[in-house]
Amino acid sequence: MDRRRLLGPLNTVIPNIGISSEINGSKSTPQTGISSSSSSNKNDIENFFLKTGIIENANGSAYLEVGNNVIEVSVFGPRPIRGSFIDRASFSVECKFLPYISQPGDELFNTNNQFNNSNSNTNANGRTGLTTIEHKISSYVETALLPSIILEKYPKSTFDVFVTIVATETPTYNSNEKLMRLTNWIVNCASVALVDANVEVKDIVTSGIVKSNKSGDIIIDPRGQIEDEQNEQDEQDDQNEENVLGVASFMNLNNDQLVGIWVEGGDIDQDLVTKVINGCNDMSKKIRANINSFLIDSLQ
Amino acid sequence: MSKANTDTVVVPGQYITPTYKLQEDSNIIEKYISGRGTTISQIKASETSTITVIAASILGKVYINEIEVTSGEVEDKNNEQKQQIKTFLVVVIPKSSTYLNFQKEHQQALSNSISINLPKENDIVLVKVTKITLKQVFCEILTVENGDNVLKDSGLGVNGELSHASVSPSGGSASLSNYQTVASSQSTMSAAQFQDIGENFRGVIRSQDIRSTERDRVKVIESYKPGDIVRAMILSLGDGSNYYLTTARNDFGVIFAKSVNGSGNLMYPLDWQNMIDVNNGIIEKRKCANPFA
Repeated sequence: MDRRRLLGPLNTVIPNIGISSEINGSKSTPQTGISSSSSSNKNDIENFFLKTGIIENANGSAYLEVGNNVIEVSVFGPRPIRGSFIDRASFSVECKFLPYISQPGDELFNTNNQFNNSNSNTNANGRTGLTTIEHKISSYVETALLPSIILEKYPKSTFDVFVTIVATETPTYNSNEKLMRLTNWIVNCASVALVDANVEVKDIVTSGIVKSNKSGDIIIDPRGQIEDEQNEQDEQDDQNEENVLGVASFMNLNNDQLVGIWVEGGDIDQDLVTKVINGCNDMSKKIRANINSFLIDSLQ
Repeated sequence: MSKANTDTVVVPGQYITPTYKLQEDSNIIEKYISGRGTTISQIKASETSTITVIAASILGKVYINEIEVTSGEVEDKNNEQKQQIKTFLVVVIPKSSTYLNFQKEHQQALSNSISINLPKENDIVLVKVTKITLKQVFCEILTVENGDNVLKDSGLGVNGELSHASVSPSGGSASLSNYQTVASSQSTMSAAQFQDIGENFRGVIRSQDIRSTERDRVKVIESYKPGDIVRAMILSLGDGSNYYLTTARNDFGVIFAKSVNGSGNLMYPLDWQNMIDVNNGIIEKRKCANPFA
């Protein structure tokens, strides 16, 4: 209870003063915009479902489903900070898996989880803070989105992005691939959430993911081990080591600026990195086109 | 050609117009100024050249209006054939902004601003008084005039820390966030505390800023009381916690107040320092705003 002032009743409704009854945006032919083409071509991007504004008390939010991944991002801000004066906004990202979800790479990173470190230093969630994996994703998303936000326009304030992973891919995916695929879509989803929050940005950040196989071919938007299904398990493992995975994020309309890159695995040389970046750029452009039409539709 | 491209929906990053444009079939230069909801970006046109364009920074509709510029003539003296420059202000209005839509309908000038809704110096704001001391008045900033609500809900729903943080799965009040693990653009998290927030942007009116005459004889208690809605101007961004505000002008001061510390009825101003509750006749002292000044 706040005793410093007189509060209104709890269930206050804010009247929409000044709302227009005359706004008649000419409704153009409705594009779905929600999903990309459903062709089975292996270089096409997987369908995704996107929705904004699902969280009432956040300034902006977005919800994305792709494959079996379900991601929800809420943006809070600009909110006032307390403490010393800063002339620009602060920006933070926090990424959380729901407690019952097995995190990609769990077996590698989370050595001291609740099973072998019971009681000590854990909360009911089984964690103290973020796991290594969550932190990895948070860092990437923060790095990718930070250049796009016009922080100078928001002195003394803070933006907080909260990413919640509601579901992840099935275990048939290689854990690196699972993690990077997830990160890729989190960036896309968080960008839309920022737009929904009306945060001023230089451009929408979108990202793409590619995989290169042994022969150096680039597969855009790899989806698990579909082609390797017939191969024997050992062969698959060998191949995984040779594969190079890359996620890269771009501001497409701002000179295609590269704002984040993450490459894992295999032998990497300059040619391959160029190929990876170009592949990711192609994919990010396709996603951007979808997001654009989704946003334009959402306004009409 | 006072308006162009109006009502076009733009997404963040989309180019709206170059900053300078030559009007077709004439010698008139069109200059575009980046207003609210837009930003200026340098876009590479080729390997060697870049173009300065105004791009949208939010999702919304574009409005381009011609504005009068008084000081533009002086610089052009050197040009023998004096070229006419027309200046346009480019703004993007988000869908959610009811205030701006209202303004647009009433053909008011859409002014420039640092951001969509954060107050800056010389902005006129509406504040709610939360606390008074002998020396100063503490308040919360609700709305920027010609702008929008500073927070979506005008600060009504935001009270305390938990209103923004997720509730811990253990059911307690512990937060899911952890200082060491959040990736932030600030090198130290102490520079940007993100937990103890949830209230509005705060401001301070010092007693010497309450009115412009007899500044040293101002009594805070006879000027403002908690709960009053006050029209004020931002003096400076202030320190980390508070904006500094002033009401030292005739058109600044109390615009809404209730008698008997808020438990009474709405009061009406009698003169610049008295307000009356017409239902029970109580007269209280306030520093009133004169809206017709």
